[in-house]
Amino acid sequence: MAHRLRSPQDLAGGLLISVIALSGFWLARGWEAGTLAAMQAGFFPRLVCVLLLAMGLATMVRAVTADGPVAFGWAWRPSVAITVAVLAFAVLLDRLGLVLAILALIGIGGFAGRPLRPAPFTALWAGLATGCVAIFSWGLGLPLQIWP
Amino acid sequence: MDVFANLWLGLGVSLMPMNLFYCFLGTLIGTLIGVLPGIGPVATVALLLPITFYLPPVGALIMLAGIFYGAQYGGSTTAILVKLPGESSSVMTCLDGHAMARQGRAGVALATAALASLFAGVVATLVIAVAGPPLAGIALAFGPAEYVALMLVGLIGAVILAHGSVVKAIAMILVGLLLAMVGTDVNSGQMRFTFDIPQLYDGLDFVPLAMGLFGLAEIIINLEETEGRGVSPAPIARLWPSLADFREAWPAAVRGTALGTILGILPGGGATLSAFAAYALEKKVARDPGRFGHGAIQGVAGPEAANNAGAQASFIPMLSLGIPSNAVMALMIGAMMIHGITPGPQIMTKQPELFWGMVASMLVGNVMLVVLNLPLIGLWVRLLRVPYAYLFPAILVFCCIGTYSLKNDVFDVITMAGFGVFGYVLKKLDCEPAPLLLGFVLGPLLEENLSRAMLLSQGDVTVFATRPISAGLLAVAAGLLALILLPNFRRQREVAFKE
Repeated sequence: MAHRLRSPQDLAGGLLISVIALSGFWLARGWEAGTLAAMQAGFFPRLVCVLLLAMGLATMVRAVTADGPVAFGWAWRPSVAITVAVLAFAVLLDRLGLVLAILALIGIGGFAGRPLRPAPFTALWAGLATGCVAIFSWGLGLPLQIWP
Repeated sequence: MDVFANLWLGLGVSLMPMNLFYCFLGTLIGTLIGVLPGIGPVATVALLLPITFYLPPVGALIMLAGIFYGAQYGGSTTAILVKLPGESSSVMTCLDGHAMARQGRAGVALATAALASLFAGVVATLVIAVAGPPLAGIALAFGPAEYVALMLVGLIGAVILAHGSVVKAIAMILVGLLLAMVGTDVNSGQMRFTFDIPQLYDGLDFVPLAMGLFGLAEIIINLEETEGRGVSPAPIARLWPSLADFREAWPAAVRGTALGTILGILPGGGATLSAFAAYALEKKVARDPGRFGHGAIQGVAGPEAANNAGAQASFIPMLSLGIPSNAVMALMIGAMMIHGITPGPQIMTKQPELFWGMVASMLVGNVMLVVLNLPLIGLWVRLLRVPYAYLFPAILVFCCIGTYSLKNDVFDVITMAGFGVFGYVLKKLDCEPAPLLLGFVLGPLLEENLSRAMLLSQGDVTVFATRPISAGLLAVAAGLLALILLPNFRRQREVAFKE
């Protein structure tokens, strides 16, 4: 009973937390910890990572002692589309300007849900681009590149 | 009464037509800009600081204070409508405020936020007027050991407010602390977790973190749950809070105000900590804690009152000691210096009309904020009826530009994309981002004060127990921890969450 996996979600969570803790500990390996009376840059990271590792292990223990959801899916389409869209915006903004970066952002981002038909899409693009230029560039005076 | 004579003098100053106009203008611009996601009070005040150079000193300060409240309230508006916290103190408003909006109670949530803020603002202003200078002494009585104890109370409080597993909530706080370490260590100059990326030398910024964890992750989750159709909030039953809503909300607002006024005086995450603490308190005293996170009106009224009272109270150390308790107050001091005013204990005796004018303008500003925003609620609520296929690209665009505008650097936008995915992973693993954000906000203060306290006591950990305020706070922290860990309480807690 105790050795059966009862909550894959907790196992994954515990693993993630432990990995974060261990990589934090590894990255902090070269920093001096100092003493309690004179803490150096490495003290607090190590303290936090040790505590975090303890929490990660505790979560993994829960995975075999407490019931949790059996399976959990991963929505590839929205998560990938949103991330790629935001990254595309970041890459294009300095190169092609705000108007085209917005086109890429909402064009790719649209695939996260159900993409709009061309006419409403163009209207949305025009509206958002005009609004953003008006608010951020003219209104707030941010140095934004607008056209390529 | 001396205080009333002073307030009278102040009201005389702040009700002069020109000053009234500056106050109105400040609140209006502050609200409009604060509503833009990613642009919180700090950015708004910084952006608009140059405008005030041309005004007379009193007018400039009144206008800046107006911008500050406006931006703060604007941040709550986006938190409620689209679950985008513009700044750390509106993170808690996101939880129940947005849940209310999805139930068709956005108008009620917005009105509750506005009225709770008004109440908190008025009370906190009166506290400033009556007891401002003596209260500033509290800030001075707080040494490093007291701060460490206070942060522990705050962080343990964050565990209560989380749903589900206590262990995971603590883990999230620790991840937040770890993220807060990114950047150059203040004491040694050691680069930590920077991976030789120059943009990380100054540390991560709150905005891309919060926008990713809340904004982007929320869009992904919404689209997943509805298979791409997107959420449409329940039809709006009523725009204004009913009498029953009022009855539920006002005690929460009173408690939030008290917490915010006390915690806001302390330098550091005053407004943020008080919003978190108020939420935890409301959840603790509520008869049915299970409703929290699913649209409990107390979860909006408490934190909103607390963050406004906290924001207001942060003027106390600024005006009477010249100590800025947060970034906005540092900007205010900057603005005062430009006008040739040195904040500090002598400001009240040397320039009473300035000091009291500003205190009274807080009253006027809070009233104006409500007058300005109540009619706007109808407009904001209508925004929610925009189909999600149009709404979510618009949110994406505002998230991206808002984040970019912080430093005019696309690196922040990339960071936001990364935290969007991380936020989605956390949701899948049933971990909550709110404790992570609190850890992130309090991290630098905790580390700095811990090392300072240990330095002063030469490594003697008993210092936390021997200093009375710190010992008292630690007792509170231990009590909270015991409450969480007590099996009986825990069983109740789990039952409450299953409902």
